[in-house]
Amino acid sequence: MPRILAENVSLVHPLFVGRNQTVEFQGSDKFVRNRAGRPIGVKALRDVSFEFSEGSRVGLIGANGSGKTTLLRVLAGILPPDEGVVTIEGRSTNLININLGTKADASGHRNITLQALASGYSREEIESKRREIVEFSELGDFLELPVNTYSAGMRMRLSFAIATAFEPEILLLDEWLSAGDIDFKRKASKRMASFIDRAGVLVLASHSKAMLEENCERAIWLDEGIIRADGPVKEVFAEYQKEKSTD
Amino acid sequence: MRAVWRTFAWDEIQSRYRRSALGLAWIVLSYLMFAGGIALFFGGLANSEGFGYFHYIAVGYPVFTLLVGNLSEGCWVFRGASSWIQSSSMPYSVYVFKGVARSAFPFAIQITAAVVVLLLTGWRPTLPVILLCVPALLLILATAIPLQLCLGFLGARYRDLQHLIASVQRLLIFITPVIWIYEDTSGLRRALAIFNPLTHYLEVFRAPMLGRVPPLESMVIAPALTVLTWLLALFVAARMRKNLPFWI
Repeated sequence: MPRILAENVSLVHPLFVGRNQTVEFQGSDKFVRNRAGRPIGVKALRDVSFEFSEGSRVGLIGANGSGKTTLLRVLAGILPPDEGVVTIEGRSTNLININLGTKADASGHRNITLQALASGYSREEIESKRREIVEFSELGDFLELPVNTYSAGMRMRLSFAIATAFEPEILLLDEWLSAGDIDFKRKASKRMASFIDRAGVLVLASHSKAMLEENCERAIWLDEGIIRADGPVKEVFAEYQKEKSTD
Repeated sequence: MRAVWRTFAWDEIQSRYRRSALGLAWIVLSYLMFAGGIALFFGGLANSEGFGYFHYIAVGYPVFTLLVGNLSEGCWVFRGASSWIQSSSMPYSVYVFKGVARSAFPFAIQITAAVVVLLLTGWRPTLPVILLCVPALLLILATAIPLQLCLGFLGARYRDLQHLIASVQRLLIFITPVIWIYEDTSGLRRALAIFNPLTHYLEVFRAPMLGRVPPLESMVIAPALTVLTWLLALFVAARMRKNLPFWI
């Protein structure tokens, strides 16, 4: 059964600030500094703990730079945490950045093969799912053309179709889903719902209240890498908005 | 995992020649142009008879290209794959194998072309060819893996490395005995060649191909350097692997 367990996870995002760069990094303890006081890292995640069990639908909210994407990348196994332990049980797929993991000068069909291979599926599995991916993406003959001829929305359709076709047990999505048209959003939400029915774990980072309330039941609010709140999506979002409006 | 890097390498090779009319034939063409051209222009300077000098170039040049390719493309092993490294949890070795396969592919074509041309110009394989060339080739590939891994990490962290290698690369064709004959020289040129690791990898393959026994120093230095490269690669990987996604 799919499960994600994070125990006291911390991660510092190293910075490469030139020696002669004169920008002052004021206040806030979110920077890790060297002896000279020059910032050498940002504390992207600080002592983050949670458990997502089967059927969890979790939204990640927080301002830009609050650590949402970093957390998704840790959960995807791309970044190892500096401290703490992340336990992931189940096959996971991530859609973190729309432009990542595509080969722009290769055709759509070729990208289906490459992306699925990179996600750990075998050639037989890929061929058995190809028709379904083609149908869901609705890209038709465009799949014969290089991906760099696609619009952002078309790329997103393709990536989403590939990522969800293999029935992953864990699905990690970053906020770019909002680039789709209304039809596609509806279709994507429907597919996510069927994914939830199979008791998978969904983690979705988004700024859209509608998107979160439709797809998630729980939300985690990240603020400078710290979990500010963790609870039912409506309550956490209300709390988050309240603070934003009083700023 | 093998399916993964093979597919990725093949895809990259294809995309390099995509939309060119002659496609992969360029690998053979540019090789024949170079080997033929050099043999024509410099053939008079080397004191060898008949096709001897041409054979020397024809065998040496593909090996040299392979060796230099590992250096120049090594820096890009991870940087060129940044979009995949940041979105997939594939082991980093996939990118290294892909890089080595990408460098070895033109070599495989060129050395096949070389054998054909050599056979047409009177060359006949002798016993040492089979006995020594195969292990020499395996040694070169066994060095390419840690070398590209090392350069991949270092090139991602230190952006000056690619410029340094590009600058040195232009000199390598002169410092390495590809165009001039190693055994004929003495003094500074020979000393430089001995300090140049490429010389030894080149010699252990080229000499038996041309029916000679490689110089003893090369047969010792080349494997020793391979072991050193592996040790260095393990050290570099242990220190740098954690930060790689942030660097690219």
